[in-house]
Amino acid sequence: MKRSSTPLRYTLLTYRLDHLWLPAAFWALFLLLILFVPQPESKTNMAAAYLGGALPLLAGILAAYAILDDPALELQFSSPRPAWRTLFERLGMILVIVGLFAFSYQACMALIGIDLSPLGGIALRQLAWLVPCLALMALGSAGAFALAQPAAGAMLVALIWMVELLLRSWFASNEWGRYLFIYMGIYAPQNPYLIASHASLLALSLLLLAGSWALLKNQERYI
Amino acid sequence: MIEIQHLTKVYGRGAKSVWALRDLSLSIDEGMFGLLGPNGAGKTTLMRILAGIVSPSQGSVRVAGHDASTEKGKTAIKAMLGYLPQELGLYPELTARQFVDYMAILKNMNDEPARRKRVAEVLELVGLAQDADRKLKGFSGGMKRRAGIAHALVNDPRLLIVDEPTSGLDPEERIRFRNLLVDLASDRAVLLSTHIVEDIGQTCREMGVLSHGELLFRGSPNEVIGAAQGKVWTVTTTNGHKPNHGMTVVSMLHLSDGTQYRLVGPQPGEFPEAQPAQPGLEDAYVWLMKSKEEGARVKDEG
Ligand SMILES: Nc1ncnc2c1ncn2[C@@H]1O[C@H](COP(=O)(O)OP(=O)(O)O)[C@@H](O)[C@H]1O
Ligand SMILES: [Mg+2]
Repeated sequence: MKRSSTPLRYTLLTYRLDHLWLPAAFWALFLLLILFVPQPESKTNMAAAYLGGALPLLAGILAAYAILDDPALELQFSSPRPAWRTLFERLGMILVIVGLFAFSYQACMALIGIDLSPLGGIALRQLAWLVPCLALMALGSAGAFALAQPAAGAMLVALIWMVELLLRSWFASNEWGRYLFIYMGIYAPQNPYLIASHASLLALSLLLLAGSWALLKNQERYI
Repeated sequence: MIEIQHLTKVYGRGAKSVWALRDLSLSIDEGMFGLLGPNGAGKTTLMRILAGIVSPSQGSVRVAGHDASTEKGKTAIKAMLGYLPQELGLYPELTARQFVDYMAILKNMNDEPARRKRVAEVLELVGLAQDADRKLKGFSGGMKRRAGIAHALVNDPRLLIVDEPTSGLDPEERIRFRNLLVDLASDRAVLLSTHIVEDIGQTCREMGVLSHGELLFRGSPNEVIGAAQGKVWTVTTTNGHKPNHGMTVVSMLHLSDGTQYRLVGPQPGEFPEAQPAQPGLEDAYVWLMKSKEEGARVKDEG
């Protein structure tokens, strides 16, 4: 147990904690907003917007910076650690951080009595943030490696996030668009294609992660 | 330890490609080897290839028998090597001990008690035992380099590669660091790169000179100096007349009766009164670069 916990401890200790100010600020902001909007259904929408909208955007941006922003990147590259392991540890840590935000947020919602049941049962509700978070994380990571630039990965995430947000009704109903639609879980939780959409996004995420892995192996592009 | 044959490295493709190394052949064994060259010569590229981070474009590179162009070989090299990069980025929030411990974990040293003991050993070896539990962000340049060396030594490598480790250090730190490297080279191979001639002087038995991606010389410091025999002159001018005509001024000194120049070049035709001088390593380096520019390559077999 001790053995495997040590690298994780260092993964956390070496993480640039200043990256977490923005997600923490959003968490607090969406909590405050909810206290101020009057109608219960707006409160529910606001909570959904945080979980399935704001959080995935932040997750994608954090993932874009997860590896290439390391101050000792060349030392990391000079170690015999395989690329998949670095990828797994760093993105895994970000997923854990994002999960903490999501769960603590839902706990707060429960405390102040906000009903999240329109997003589906407890388990299905988790997919509404988890799937888009994974998809944008995979996109951010693959984009950062493909363009050898963390900021480029983050821009790509923000672009897709914005385009899907603006064209959400098209994405939700189009016979191809719905398989790429990251907001299905919060925008149209009753859609018969919800599970198919989640499944296709997860498959796409895996492809993008495999792409990230292949790109990361070519270390000379990043130093 | 290191066998390089016809190594070429080209960055990028097409019109924007950069030839960082050209048809370089070199072999290096035990002891301290100094690689000298100006900025942009290709030193960092060569060291990164030897460290398994950059892939060769052409040619063969073997480090302790492992092929540096295959994925498997690179991993094997990384596990047996100690490497200190030129741009040494560290984790400011870690202490020196945590940093070395983390790097040891990355090098697959999984046995915790043994690892902890080794970390304390290398910190002691580089003179950081007192400061081991201070955060790296408070370290001076020299201390950071020593923490870097501690990390590079943690797996007791038979080959240590250090890329311009003395740049940015003050003279005292530089001397201390150089002595540390000489010490370490007593029972392992150390490959040191630098653009500073003094770093090589007395410390390296063998050296190479790299310029524009080509190896201009390989041998002992005395041999380079020998090649510059008869090419170094001193002359004192009184009328403000400055030497030019194919001579390089390595130093000048204003005296009460004129200006004394130290010149490197074939023969000081315009100054028949010039006195031949004993070349030093720096003069020899200047002569080597100069004769390369003039197309007269002095090249030892690698
Ligand atoms: N990652 C890279 N991409 C493109 N060109 C590079 C890269 N790294 C180095 N170069 C180029 O290769 C040449 C050699 O650089 P380098 O190996 O850093 O030399 P040195 O360490 O001797 O200063 C330089 O012209 C440099 O601009
Ligand atoms: Mg360099």
